Amino acid sequence: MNQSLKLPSWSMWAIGFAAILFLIMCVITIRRNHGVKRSFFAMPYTLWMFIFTIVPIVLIGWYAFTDSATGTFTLNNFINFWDSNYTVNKMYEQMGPEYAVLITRGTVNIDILVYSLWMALGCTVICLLLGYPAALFMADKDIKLGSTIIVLFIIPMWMNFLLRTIAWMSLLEDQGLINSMLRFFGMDGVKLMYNDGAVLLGMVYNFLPFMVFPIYTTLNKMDGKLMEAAQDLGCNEIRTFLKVTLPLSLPGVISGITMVFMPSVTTFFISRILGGGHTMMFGDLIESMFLSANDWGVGSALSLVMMLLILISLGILRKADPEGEGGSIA
Amino acid sequence: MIEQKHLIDLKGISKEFDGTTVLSNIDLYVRKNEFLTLLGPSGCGKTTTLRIIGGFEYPTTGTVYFEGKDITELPPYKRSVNTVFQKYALFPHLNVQDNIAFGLKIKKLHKDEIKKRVNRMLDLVNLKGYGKRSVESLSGGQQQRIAIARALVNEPEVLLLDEPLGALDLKLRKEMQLELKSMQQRLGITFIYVTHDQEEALTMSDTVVVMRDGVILQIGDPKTIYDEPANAFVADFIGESNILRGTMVCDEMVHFSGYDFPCVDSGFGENVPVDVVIRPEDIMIVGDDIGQISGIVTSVLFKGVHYEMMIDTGETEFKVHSTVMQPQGSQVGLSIVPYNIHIMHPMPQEPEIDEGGEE
Repeated sequence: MNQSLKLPSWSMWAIGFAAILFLIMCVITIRRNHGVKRSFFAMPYTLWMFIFTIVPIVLIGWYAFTDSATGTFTLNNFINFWDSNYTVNKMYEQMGPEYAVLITRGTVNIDILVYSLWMALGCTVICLLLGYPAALFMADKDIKLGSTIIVLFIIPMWMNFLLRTIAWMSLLEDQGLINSMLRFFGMDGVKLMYNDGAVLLGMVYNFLPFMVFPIYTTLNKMDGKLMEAAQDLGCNEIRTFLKVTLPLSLPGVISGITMVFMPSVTTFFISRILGGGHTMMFGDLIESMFLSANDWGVGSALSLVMMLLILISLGILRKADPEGEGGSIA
Repeated sequence: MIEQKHLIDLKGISKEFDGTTVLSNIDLYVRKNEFLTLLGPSGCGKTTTLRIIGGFEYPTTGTVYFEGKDITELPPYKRSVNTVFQKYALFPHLNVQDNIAFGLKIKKLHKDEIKKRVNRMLDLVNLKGYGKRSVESLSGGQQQRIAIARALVNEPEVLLLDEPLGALDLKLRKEMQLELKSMQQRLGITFIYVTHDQEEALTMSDTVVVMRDGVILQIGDPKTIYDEPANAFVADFIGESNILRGTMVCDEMVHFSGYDFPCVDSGFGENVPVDVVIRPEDIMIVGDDIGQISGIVTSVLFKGVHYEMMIDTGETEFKVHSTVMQPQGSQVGLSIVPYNIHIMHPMPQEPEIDEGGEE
């Protein structure tokens, strides 16, 4: 099928029109002083949810379980996902020999999935190890610098995620800032880009705030008297942390893990920019299935697998924090 | 009961927060087995004093001695005192018995010993069988008992209590007052208690320390504090009082409200301005013709045990408590026994009395 969607132009008009219509209706109803149910004002949101969340999910389900040629029910898309050679062949067929790198690396869907999970796990662990002390530092009311650090964490988030990632390129490149500096001091350049480390760095850099802020929030709202009570009952600073602060901040930790792990698993672009095509993550695979290989069926199947994984991990995390105290989105 | 030995000595304690003086030059000692109450309005420094003893604040100047040893710089976990916090500060992630056992587990006591002592404590605070409950499922009064049990189980030499009954309703508070007092006597532990409730202080304490603006105004047993207040502020803060400006005519004679009254105080000098404090229950209503002064009843309030009447003598309005009601508008005589007239040096400025609230 032809995928050149013209969504942007007409949808913008539609949304604009709907919004104006809604505003006019609001003004009329308020002026007439009729009793307006509060749910009326939730209509644009409901509509938005329907068009941009429910409909796409249904469409993904549809594509995943139907044959793209005949439109009949099939499980072939999932079978193709398990078939090691399918993706390789498909890509070779669609994109030609420049994707030979992927083929020589023996890229298999399931390998990419495992690799993505490992990378996401690594990213989450590193974010936790870096983020918890940072949050602890920021929440310490005796440290005046705390609020300054919060601002320093927020400022990069004002910039677009793609720009931030590209900025790392100019640092890590063979001719980039770091290597130039090294050479200036008479040392050999180091290959910093196009490896797993660089991808991991990019992911940690981008997702670290999502770990820091939930933990910071739980630490910040914690009753300081509890720490005093622990000290009163004989805990030194380390024990107070282990016995009171840490267990009470777990909701924040869980929320942070969720918010880092989910975008990490599904991430794409970072691996392409900093991994230079040598590494492919599950997000990249889905993207290339849709946009390069033009195989919406398998792409949708992959998306469903991804969604299932996220739902499972959300379920596990929800078990650990049933009340959602950490402001977890789970 | 109370031994004369000083358990805790505060010597010249001052505390500043960002340039604001909260405590200035406090000298105080606490004897073994004593129930000592720090009493005063919000912001008088009573909680800060308690926190300095507990080790949560360090004084700007001055020294804290515990059994003669300097503990000023000692962190809380090395002091043999335990605290019952204002809002209990129970650990929400632990159940009742784990909360109580917290201190014992830190001390690495044997499991059976911990169990025995926790159960004994639950017994003591009348919460047998509540061990497995989550602390958040308990009522305020029950949480309060758990907080006391959590502190007492460590068998501290001194228990610090920071307005522990503040969040409870009146009836429960009265019950807990008696319970705390009897607990203190049974266990022979020194209690240092912080409150802004004067009645609570008088009911429970062996010694009351009245504080205001970071200064100790008076230290004494409850009866002395009530009967012989050091100044008009203490008199007004402890119970209700008529506080009048007067002049000491000569020894044992004071002039206020337009008349000379015989009193028992002397040594103030002649024609010296003084504060005169008279408790409302110490003014007797007598026949119009036999009173020292006479006045008209302007208002009558029923207070349960007694009536509170405002009686206008032309120059002053007296608050009078009596079990016999005089109808509003009636002309009555007032009579005051000499030793019920308390003469004190005037306060440098008008006292501002703020009872309620938390620090």
